[in-house]
Amino acid sequence: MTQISRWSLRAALSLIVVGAISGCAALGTAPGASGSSSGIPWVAAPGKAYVHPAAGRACGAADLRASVAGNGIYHGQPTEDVVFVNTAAEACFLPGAPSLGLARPGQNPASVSAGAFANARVDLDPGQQLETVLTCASTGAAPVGSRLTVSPAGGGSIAVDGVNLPSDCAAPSILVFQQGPTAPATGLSSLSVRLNLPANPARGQVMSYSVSLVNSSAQAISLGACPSYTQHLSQPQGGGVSLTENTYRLNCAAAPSSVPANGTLSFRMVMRVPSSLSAGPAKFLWNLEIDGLPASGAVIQVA
Amino acid sequence: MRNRRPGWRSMRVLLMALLLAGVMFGPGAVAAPTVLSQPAAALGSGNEILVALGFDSECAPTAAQMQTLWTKSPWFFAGVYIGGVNIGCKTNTNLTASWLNTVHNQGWWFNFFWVGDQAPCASSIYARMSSDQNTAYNDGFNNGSSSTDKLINTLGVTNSASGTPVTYDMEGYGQPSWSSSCQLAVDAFMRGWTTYLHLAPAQKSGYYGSTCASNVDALAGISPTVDFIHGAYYNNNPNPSDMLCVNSGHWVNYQRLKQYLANQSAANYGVSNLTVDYDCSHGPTAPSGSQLNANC
Repeated sequence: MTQISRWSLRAALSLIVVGAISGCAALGTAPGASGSSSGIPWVAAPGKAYVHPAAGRACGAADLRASVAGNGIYHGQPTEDVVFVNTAAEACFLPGAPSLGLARPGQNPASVSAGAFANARVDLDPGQQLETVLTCASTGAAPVGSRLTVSPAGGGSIAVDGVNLPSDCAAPSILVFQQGPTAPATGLSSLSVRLNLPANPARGQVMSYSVSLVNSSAQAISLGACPSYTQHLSQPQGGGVSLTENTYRLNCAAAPSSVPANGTLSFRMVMRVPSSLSAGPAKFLWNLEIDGLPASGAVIQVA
Repeated sequence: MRNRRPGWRSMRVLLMALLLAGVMFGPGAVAAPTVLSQPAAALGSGNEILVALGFDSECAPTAAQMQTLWTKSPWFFAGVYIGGVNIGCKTNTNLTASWLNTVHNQGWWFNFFWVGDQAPCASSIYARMSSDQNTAYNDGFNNGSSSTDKLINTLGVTNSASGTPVTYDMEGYGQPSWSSSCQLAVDAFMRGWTTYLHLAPAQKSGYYGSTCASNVDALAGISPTVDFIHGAYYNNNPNPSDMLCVNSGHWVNYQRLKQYLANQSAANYGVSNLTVDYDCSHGPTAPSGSQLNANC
């Protein structure tokens, strides 16, 4: 065999090995790796977590429309549901539950305790709702129509009539301070995620799995500037939670530029299962780091 | 061919290797998309016996909050209040069929609560069932109908199979004697509730309430009785076998869930504006699946 032919053979073997490593072996089947997968190879490119843009200003009374949704019962006490909507053309925020005053016929005005929500910031997109459920201690007296005065941090006040709480309502407080859904997802955010996970990944070893991005629309969806993703693995332990999270970027260099209409793109993934986990169930979740955080999760049994 | 330079065979091997590596591992090999055969299904029906921690909240959290809780909390299931005339969270803006599917795809299981008519001896500020037993039975039957209608037609839970657990929320009404007219009305109401839920395709009938003040144990003596109980007993012990006022021999075959701590902030688990109750399941949760034992 000539010198050049020996060189060529060595080169050929090297390329096969390089191809295999870059394709899957080194990243997807490290010693002890479990599971099988197919798709676009994994790449160790650091990613960036998505942060939803924060509203730039506090909501004022002029931004909010309020309505009474009705009363009910929770934990044996009466409730009244008041819903706010951000009617402004831009997002605004409440740095915590707004100051609420309750005025009942023939009684002194009472302030409504914000409780745990005093400093719980809520951002509201245009059109987004905020559900606020009030409660109090009552021995069963009949409800009376009351006026709720809302004073948001952004200024002004809103008078909400028709709040029905019992006349003996003592220590009124906020029970729920919950924003509603944002606008329906479009583009990349409308993708759904499917996982193909191994049933019994082993502690201390690399778990190989695959993720499919599913486009259920009739239009191709561009991967744009190549989104990041995060894989989470958590397990309840000793009253707390053991959580491992890694954020990477998709291997867009090896992928088509878009997810086809009514189709999927599959990516191979790897994650090391911490040796500190116990054998038994653990919660896994994979999400794209884009608006809406499209995700899929499941329980896996760690071996 | 005879004039090939030395090493031609090796070069051919090299080219084939390059081609092979490209075909096996290059972008072209993995770019081919697959085509979906059908759209995503609605949330399935049925139940799974879950032994795990969970939570419930009066209003459904946002999907983003649920995602945070899946990764940062010890909880595997969520109690969801789906309706009823006395539900506290009237608008419940996050609760839709899409939300259920999104959240289930995150990994969650569910309890569905129905907060309908309360006991005739409960406070008059709430909508109450009749104290007449026959009418109360019909009230319970109608609440069963309304709850399954909500699950199927509004929330998109598949109705082609049986076994979805639905829990009636009966808030505390005292602890009257078992022969009182109030208790007999509650008994009749719950017989009507369970009778409806057991109509084909039969679902799982549950009863939630204070283990003492909602007189949970009294239901062991009615027929048909509920398939499982969800007792509220706030002693910070998750174990559902530990329920004051409930006979330890009743509902013992993976038929108990327990709400063991009330009105807790979820801030420790990454969601600051959410108040929750802590729960433990040793019973059915929706939808169907293989049994999970995560201890609690």
